[in-house]
Amino acid sequence: MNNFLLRQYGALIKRELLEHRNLFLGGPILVAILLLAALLWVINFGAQDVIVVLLTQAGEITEGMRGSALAPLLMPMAVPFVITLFIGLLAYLINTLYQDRRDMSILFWQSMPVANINTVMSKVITAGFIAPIFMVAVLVVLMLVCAFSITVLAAINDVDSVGLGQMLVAILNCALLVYMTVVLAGLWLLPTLGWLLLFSAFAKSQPLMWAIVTFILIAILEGLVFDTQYLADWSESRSGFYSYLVLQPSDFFDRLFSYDMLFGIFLGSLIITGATYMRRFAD
Amino acid sequence: MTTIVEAKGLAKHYGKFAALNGVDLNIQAGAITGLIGPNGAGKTTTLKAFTGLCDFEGELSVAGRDPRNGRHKLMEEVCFIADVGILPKWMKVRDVIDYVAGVHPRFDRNKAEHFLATTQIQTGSKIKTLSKGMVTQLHLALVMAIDVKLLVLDEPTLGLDIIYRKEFYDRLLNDYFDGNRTVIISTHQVEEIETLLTQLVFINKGRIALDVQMADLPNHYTEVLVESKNIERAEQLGPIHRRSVLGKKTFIYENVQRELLETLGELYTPSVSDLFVAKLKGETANE
Amino acid sequence: MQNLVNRTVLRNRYTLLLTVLVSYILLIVIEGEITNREPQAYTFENPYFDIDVNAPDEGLEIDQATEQNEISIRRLFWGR
Repeated sequence: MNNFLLRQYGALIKRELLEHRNLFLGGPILVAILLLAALLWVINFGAQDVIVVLLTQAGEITEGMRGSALAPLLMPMAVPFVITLFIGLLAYLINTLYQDRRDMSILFWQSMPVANINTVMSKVITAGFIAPIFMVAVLVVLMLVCAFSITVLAAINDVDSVGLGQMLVAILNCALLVYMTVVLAGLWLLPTLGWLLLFSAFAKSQPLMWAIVTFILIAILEGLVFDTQYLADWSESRSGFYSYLVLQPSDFFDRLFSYDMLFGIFLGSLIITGATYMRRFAD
Repeated sequence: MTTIVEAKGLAKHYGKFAALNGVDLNIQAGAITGLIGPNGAGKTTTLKAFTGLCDFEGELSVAGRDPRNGRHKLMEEVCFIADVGILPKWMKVRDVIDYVAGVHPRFDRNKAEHFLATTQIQTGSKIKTLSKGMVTQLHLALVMAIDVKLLVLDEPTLGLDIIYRKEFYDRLLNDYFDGNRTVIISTHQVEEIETLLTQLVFINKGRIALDVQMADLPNHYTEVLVESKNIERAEQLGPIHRRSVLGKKTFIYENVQRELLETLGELYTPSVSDLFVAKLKGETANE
Repeated sequence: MQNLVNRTVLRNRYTLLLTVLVSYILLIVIEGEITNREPQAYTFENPYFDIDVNAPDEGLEIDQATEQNEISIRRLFWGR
């Protein structure tokens, strides 16, 4: 039975990836192409002496550093990817339980022996764990191209660079850190993720509007009923990225087992449970 | 014979509108049941309730389960085809087969592929490029490859041309039905399924208007080609329906002794479509 | 029990949504009361952490926001 459940999840996640491959793979590839174009432009048309100075400085700063120590320095490169991923995931999550109700294909999905919890969890897993893999994979390819270009440029201009081997280690380390950060961010944002799924399963039209307006409404209602602002406080205290940024692998567990993280995961699970039950109202 | 569907006082309200208003229905395992009614009679709602796709009031047991709880378990025993065209359009034929193979424990992939090989459908095609008839063929291929107790078909041939419709029912009867499986078909095109059925159910305005085994039909309903000299006597026996065919009058009677009717003219068993008109017209007249 | 839940919470999509929202906000309020939750404000001037790139093992230090340079969403939202 466990084997079967695993196979079922495989099929469910494959279905998500097939439907949204443009979002999950096309998005990061587009970002990578844009960044590469910018890089090529700088190399071709930038002032060569400035490039040499930059390369020299970079070489001096990073002199003698091990690859693993270099990794956090590469992380800013992931920022445009993460932003693209999060915008994509927002669109994905708010539509995923809504679109199939609109085009009536829900009648087909629901005619299969798949529990609602497995349908919903396959989407949570896709958003939180699988989509970041594609993003990181594209990021690694981009970084490899950059590392190679930098090494070649340094060699041409006779500058000491970190060395391709160290850079490879740095890139792989960085990929791990970025993946951990994004996964942690997904867990940190689990209440938001659940919220989007809940309204995706609930709304008969305009799910995003429902999600936003309801949130504002219950924040106001909280003030009226309890005369407190904990929802606003809570959302605000959770909006910084320092709670899920991973700069070394051990950070992952420190952040994961922090109180706010665990309480957020608990609340997120509650809302996801709601989204699961909402799924039975198929019309 | 075991009962596979047992409904008691099944009701469903959309606001104040009663889509189902106390439906009582038993379906035995091995039956081919036709659920027949005009548009908006409650056919789809009934079938959705059977398959756990909508909430309802009353008691209902399908394959020994309450469809409201554990739909996914129920769907291991029950297959459902809704009105044509609900297969996800963005998928390729191959992807749908992969998906069903992945999630359904009773799916036989070889069977489905074997069946598809007899059609024009290419496994590499996207579903949105297939014609309506082909999508239905594909869906039928999928469910026929699943070994379930109960197959529920909601207007499966709606919008298909006559060739696809005929082929659809031929396949269903010859390749799928084996006497152990149960099939429920809803439609408002009566003629096509008339010869398939073992149980006939009319539904109108959210209520069951008729529920009869096809084998019993001649015992309860008789159509008489009334000779013109007997018309007055025929009227006195209370026909539920009268119509004229080529200048001759035919009357339909419900539960009137054959011996009495034989004296009026030639006797037939009414066709399902005539009976449908008779019963539903009668219902409207009684209100 | 199952029947009761079916009849009340799972009656329709609106009763279910209401149940989820009410339990959500109740949990937030109760948790807020227990922990005396205060907003941690955005700061735009001070970085939250220093990283010594030569000794990354020391990890990152989170600086608490100071009153002067905080721009509070809460203040934007509620006024004060």
